[in-house]
Amino acid sequence: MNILKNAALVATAVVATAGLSAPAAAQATRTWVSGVGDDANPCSRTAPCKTFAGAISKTAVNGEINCLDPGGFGSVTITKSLAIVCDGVGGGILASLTNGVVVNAGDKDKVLLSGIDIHGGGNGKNGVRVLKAESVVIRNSVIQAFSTPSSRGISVEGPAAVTVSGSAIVNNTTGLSGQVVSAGNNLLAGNGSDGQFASTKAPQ
Amino acid sequence: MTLPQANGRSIAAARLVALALGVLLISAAPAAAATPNPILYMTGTEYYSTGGKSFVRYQYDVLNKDQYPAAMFAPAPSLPPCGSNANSSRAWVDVFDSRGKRLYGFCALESPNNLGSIWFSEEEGTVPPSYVYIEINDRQTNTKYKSNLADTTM
Repeated sequence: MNILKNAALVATAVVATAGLSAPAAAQATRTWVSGVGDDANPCSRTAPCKTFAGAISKTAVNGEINCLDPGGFGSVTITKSLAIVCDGVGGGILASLTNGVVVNAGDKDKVLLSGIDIHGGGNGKNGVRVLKAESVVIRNSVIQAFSTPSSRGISVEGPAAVTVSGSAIVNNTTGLSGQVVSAGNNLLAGNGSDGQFASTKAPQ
Repeated sequence: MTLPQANGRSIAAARLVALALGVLLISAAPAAAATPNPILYMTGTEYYSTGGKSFVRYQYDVLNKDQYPAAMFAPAPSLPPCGSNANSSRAWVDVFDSRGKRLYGFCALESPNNLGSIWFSEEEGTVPPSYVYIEINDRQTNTKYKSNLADTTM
């Protein structure tokens, strides 16, 4: 009888615990941001987020954040394999007094930034600051107006293969710093010091 | 010398003209402009550190701040104090996220011009609410003026 009673108690406890623990929110492979979104949303196409930083926690590893419409989506730190793709839309980052994009991912993580306008507002720190990743590809983007004495358009400060194509890195204090490979069709001009691509490879 | 005699009809006409002029004068006087709701917009961000932690300050301006009377932000010692400040202003300003959670408040703005320096802050790395609004609470008239939702990114 006691055994039955104990079993019933255990079963009740198990059911109660299961009921109380909320399921962790699943991360989507593709998420969306919009100029009129809200980071309280799930970042789906019909309920988009407002910022890249808000979307990134709802995006799965190897997933992709897309822009639904033009907007300023805020600076972001990327710590996993991820793509942010805003081609043809106008995904903006205004990085006043801060970095536009910081990549500080794992040594096997791959990051793609595409179709993004990263603007330093004249006092931003760095457009794209790479601390660690296996690879970072920047394509069809504009990185401009990072103009404090120590600002850089692209600053590679750790181990990562950084490749840039079809992008303009203009009007920064320093255009490039560290090992950056050009895959063609880049504009590197108007910077206090342009810097130079470490090498050039065929367009991707 | 004799003055012209005013008959009853001309007196009545003069009274009518005077009445009409009075009505005209009253209607021509400018109506006291109603205090509008604030139009809030983001002006930028600022980074600062305090207590060993880094914060982001989200800064805002009120576009129509010049339409608020200075008296609304004058010290009001007869109203309840703001903490230990017995000279807090007549109107207090609070910042809320879009779901109504209060983020910060100002109880001694001193002047409508200072509506151009509204802000709230979050620890760096924290994703801020996507939208915020402010509420100006005129404690003397018990009237609240609520703004539009404003962005937290630019």
